Amino acid sequence: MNNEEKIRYYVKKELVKKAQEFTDPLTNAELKELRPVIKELCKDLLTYQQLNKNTWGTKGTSKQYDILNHIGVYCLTKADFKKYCNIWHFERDYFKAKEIIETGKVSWLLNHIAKNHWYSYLELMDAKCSGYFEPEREELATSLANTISDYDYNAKPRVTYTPKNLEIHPESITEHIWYLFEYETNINHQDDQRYRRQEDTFDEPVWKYTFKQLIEKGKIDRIRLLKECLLTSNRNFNKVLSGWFYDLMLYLEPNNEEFIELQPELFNALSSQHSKIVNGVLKEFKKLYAHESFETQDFLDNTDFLLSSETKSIAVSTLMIFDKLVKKDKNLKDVLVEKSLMAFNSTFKDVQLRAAKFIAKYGDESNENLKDELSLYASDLFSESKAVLAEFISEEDQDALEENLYYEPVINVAEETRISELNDIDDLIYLASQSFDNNEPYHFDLLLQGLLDFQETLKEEENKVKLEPAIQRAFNLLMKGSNSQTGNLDKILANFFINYVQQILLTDKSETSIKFQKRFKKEKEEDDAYAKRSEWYNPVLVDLRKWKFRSHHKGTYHLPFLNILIFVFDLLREGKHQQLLSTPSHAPFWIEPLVLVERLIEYQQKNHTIFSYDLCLAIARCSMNETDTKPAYDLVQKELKGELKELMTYLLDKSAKFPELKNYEQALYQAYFNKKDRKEFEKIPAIKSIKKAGNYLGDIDYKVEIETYDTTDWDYKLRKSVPVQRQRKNLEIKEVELKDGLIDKLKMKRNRKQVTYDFINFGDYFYDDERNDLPRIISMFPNNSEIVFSRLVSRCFGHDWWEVNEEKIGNKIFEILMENPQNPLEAGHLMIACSLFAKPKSVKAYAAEYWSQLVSRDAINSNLIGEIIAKFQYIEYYPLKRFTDLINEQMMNLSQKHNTALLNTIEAAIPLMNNKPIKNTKKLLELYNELRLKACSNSLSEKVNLQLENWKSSGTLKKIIKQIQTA
Amino acid sequence: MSDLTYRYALASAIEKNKDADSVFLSKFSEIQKENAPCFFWGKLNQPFITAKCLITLSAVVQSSFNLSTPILRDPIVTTGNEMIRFEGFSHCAGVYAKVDILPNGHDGEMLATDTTNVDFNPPMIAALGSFNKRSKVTLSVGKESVGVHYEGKNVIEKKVPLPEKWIKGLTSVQIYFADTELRHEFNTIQAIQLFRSIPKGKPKTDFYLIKRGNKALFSPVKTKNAICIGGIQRLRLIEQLVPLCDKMIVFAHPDMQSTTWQLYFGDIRFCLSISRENWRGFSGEGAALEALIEDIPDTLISNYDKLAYANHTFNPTLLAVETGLDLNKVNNLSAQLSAIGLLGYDLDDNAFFYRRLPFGLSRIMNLNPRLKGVEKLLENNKVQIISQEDGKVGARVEGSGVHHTVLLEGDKARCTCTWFSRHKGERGFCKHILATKKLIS
Repeated sequence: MNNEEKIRYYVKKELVKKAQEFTDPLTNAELKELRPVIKELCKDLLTYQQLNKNTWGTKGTSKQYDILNHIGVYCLTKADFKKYCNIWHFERDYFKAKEIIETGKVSWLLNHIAKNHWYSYLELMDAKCSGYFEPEREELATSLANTISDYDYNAKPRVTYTPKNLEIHPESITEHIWYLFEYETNINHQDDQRYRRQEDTFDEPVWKYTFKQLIEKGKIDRIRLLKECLLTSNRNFNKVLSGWFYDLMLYLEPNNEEFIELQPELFNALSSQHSKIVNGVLKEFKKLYAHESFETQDFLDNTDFLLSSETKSIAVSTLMIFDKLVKKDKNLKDVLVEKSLMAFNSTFKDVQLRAAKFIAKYGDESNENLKDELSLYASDLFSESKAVLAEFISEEDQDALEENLYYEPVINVAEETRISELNDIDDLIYLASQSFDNNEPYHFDLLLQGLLDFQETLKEEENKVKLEPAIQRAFNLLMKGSNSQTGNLDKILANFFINYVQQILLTDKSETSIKFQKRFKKEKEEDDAYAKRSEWYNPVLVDLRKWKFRSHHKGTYHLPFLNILIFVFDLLREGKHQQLLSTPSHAPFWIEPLVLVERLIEYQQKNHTIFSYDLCLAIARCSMNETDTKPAYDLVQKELKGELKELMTYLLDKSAKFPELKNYEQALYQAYFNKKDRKEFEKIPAIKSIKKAGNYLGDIDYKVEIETYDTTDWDYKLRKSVPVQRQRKNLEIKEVELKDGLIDKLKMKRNRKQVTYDFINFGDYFYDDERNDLPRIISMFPNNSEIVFSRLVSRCFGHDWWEVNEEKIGNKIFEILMENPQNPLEAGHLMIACSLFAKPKSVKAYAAEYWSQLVSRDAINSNLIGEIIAKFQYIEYYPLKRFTDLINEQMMNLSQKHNTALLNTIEAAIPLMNNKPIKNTKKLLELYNELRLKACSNSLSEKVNLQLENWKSSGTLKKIIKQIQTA
Repeated sequence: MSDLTYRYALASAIEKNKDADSVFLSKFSEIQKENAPCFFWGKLNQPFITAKCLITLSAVVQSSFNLSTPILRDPIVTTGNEMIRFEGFSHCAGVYAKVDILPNGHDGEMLATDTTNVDFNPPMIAALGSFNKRSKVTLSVGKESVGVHYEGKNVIEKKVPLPEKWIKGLTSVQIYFADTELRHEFNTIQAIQLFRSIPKGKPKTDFYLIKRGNKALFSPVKTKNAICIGGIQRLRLIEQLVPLCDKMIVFAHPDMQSTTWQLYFGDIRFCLSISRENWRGFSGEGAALEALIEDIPDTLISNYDKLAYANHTFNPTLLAVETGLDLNKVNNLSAQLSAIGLLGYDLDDNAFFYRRLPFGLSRIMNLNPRLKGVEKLLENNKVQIISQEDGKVGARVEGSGVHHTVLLEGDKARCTCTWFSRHKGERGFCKHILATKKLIS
């Protein structure tokens, strides 16, 4: 057999040992000759194939790879070896690599492993001693951390303690051990491992024990070790590792004299980002403060940050040390009092109170500077702290809170929000290229108007070419799917655009048209092929009237938009030009009433057909601010005629009576819901007859209860499932059924009495697409979106399963409302109340900010919010802490008006809550007491008092209830 | 992205003497201006604050807010005009920090004016942490090293490779500074209270600096005139400095592409600037691109060193006169020079200052893929000017499978590409606009 035949034979028969012996006597030239056969075998054995019915894998066996790996390293170049064999094998097996390097036949391997290796500490040191490469400090540290435990999974115990490994190389203890304090390693895990190996009799934390032993043997300097432990606190190590080093220091049990020597490092540790360490150091200072060498000034240099810390215990401990220091040295009184002011930045009542008592005890009442400094904190002080500091705070500062917060008046129609009209074809080209990106909610409408306005100019050849980017984007959206910004409405817009281009614009024999039609054909074939492959896929390159969303989208909110697209498509096909009524005039979705009236006058003059959905949307988007409606009203009286005049008069005049119209019924109903005139509801039979009209005005039927349900549990003894009964907290919302055949757009008839509200159906869950459509959904009725609020409560806010998408929806809806506030009705109140308990902090903060704005504008019913909260908290549906934390952080002390609103909310909630107090009721009562003290309210309603009496039986509440009742 | 690797002629070495340790560190710079062994030697007037600021700077340079693993990186130091400035970037290049020691912040001698890279290693940071308000500290800034001499001990740093993204970031951030506006000024208490409202953890959403009544706070709620801050947890880097400052000034870019938080401590200033989002570094921003597409005359670059004195305010007219340039031909000279690393920006003076980064121009140009894209478009004749009248330029630029339309009108520019649609020029212009601009310039 020649060499080539031998290799083939060894591989075929899997003779690993023979193959290993085979390479020894060969020269470099002989080895080089074997390259082709090694490559061929590697390629063949690496072929991926079906091994049996359910398994796929490579052709070769692991033994065969071992043979090729062994011979390959001698024969192949580095590049080929990396391509065909396992180079990482040598990156991990040091001694195998060393064996090959020593033969002197593989020149590249040494260079390779010098840069790429995962060796143990002892292997690294061997490589260093052999002169192969110089290990980095960081890898020495990382590997050293693992070197005092040996693992053998076949032995008992599996892990053995091997401190002798540290003594093999002298520099391990003299130098490398200190690297452990410089670089982040897993040294803390090594100590933890003693818990996992029960059979191991060695019960000490291995590294801590090792350090102790090394100190006792005089091999390392104890003080240096203690210092290094403390210095790690500021080296950006993770919390657990930093804590481990601090524990190591404590494990060594330093005495007071040593701590005194360690003072600079202890002060340094006060800057640690980890509260465990700061708390630990302060604990030591509580013992050291009396020592004659304690550096009081150095400590005071560091207290500003400690006192304003967000960790309560840090601030409290610092103040406790202040107490001790002032008792030790009366001369420090003034400086400590001045320093303690920093504690008033804390939002913790206990911290403030402790600081207040300290100042009251040691502060000088005649010190005007101190009083001035204190006045800066006056509005942030808790009443109790303020009372303690009464001598230091003037009466003027006592009422530092402003009467109300200022919010700018709501202006929907302003010059700065006016949407720029499309002046020329270039404007349309740029708009078209970004229309499907959902950059602005009004781009949808603007594109439609632009295509109507410039339909003739677009037919010029040079302009057709310019639409290429827009066409590509539309294709991409439809065929490749949404991006993080696009919604369902963008897809139907893209479909409309492709249909327009394919059926109307690019139908001639020009170069641009031929290129497009070719692409369309290709995409269409692909689209049809997808549809054939999957029953879940609905083709996207279809006629607009045949459009269907993918199966998960069960909503119907897109239908008014789809109808308008069909309407515009028909106009474009017929070559007609018409100004759409519903195109917003002001960002993000408003129509200036004057603009709407002017459009209607033009319609009357030119005898245009009014498309009912277009008119409905236009009415819904009409700004109802009095400043906007007044000039429009005058123009209506002057220029409009007939039923349109009656319709617009009713819309724009607050006091106008509900008219009877024959032609514009839909728009009239839309106008009624815009006005949110709940009082007139019963008096207007036409409205009352509309199914679920009440829900459009915020009515919501819901209950919160504990529900018993049947389920099964696995019984381990019986080894089978057994039926059990469990309880769960449940929010049940009787959702308005809006189907009525509307889901199928083909059933929609133009004479149906439908308003935009009728289409607000969503699927069971919200997806990204729905979230991205939210601004445009609100644009269907920006004056009254109660129906959406109720849907959001039932889909997102009501339940407590907040995922990323729900959080984004929460943020989005409040972002829209912050800019375009609405006076909430019942559903709106419910959404706000639920959001105040939201798990995501951002949603909670948004809700609180929106609440604040509504309070300032007198647009919210605090009692109703309180009643809703009580309904949920009766069974502790949400953790009450979320709400009390929010009050503390964001809702209290905004202004006197806000405090009153909060007080009313809590006062309305308390009597309706469960007689058995829930968790955190104490915190709620503390806030209630604080608000009462701030408002100087002495009266206590009978209902509240009765509930307090009920709660008195709870030991933890006794004290606070007594405070409330005696205030 | 590959790192810039220093190649040292000799290995660094430490010589220990009885009185003081002396350290020799090998040097490497792409641009060598002076060979002074030491730039500054002198006493620090506010050692405690200086130390705290430098520790914070070290925390910035060893932080990372994207998925990359943080590595302790080098700040750079500029001495001159009686000032010492330390600058550095986080590993992710999304956080920029600068410490300015103003003329009264030290009592020492400027031996040379230049910029160098220095490393802050763990022992050095530990030594800084042990200073107090009564410490007597001498700082020496050498050509190759920074050493802090403290009570007889000597702790010296060593250098490590500097990532290329630093260079990009250092150029972009100066241009952002030039556009930023002063938005808020807070006293110590207000600043502490503001920082207390930083949410815990790592919020994924943007936060906004809003004013409610007389109070400022961070809120996830977007309100009118609010300053938008992405990756707000990055502000925690300066949390410990805030209680020590006299005042804090907040600057913001008009398009909210960056926010800058400047703390004042007598004669020391600490400046922290954070990019628009956690995952976006200043290095990836296109602010410098527009400036880089115009060719800068070679005479200007060659004469720059003769006229530039580190930390002195930059005077474009003087430079143009001295180098015989027509000022009208170089409209945005400041932006151009800062884009190639020759200028820094001082927010208080509202002016650029001379500071030459020790990296070559070709390196900076090579770091911008969008500029490479521009060159490629022009090389392959893919830009076609279709109209040019009344200051309005229309062009057709070949993109991937489509022709984009570019329209330049005065300072405004529009393109039909996805990049433009998404960012509206806030992150620098797209390659199609840049190529058109370059073609007509």
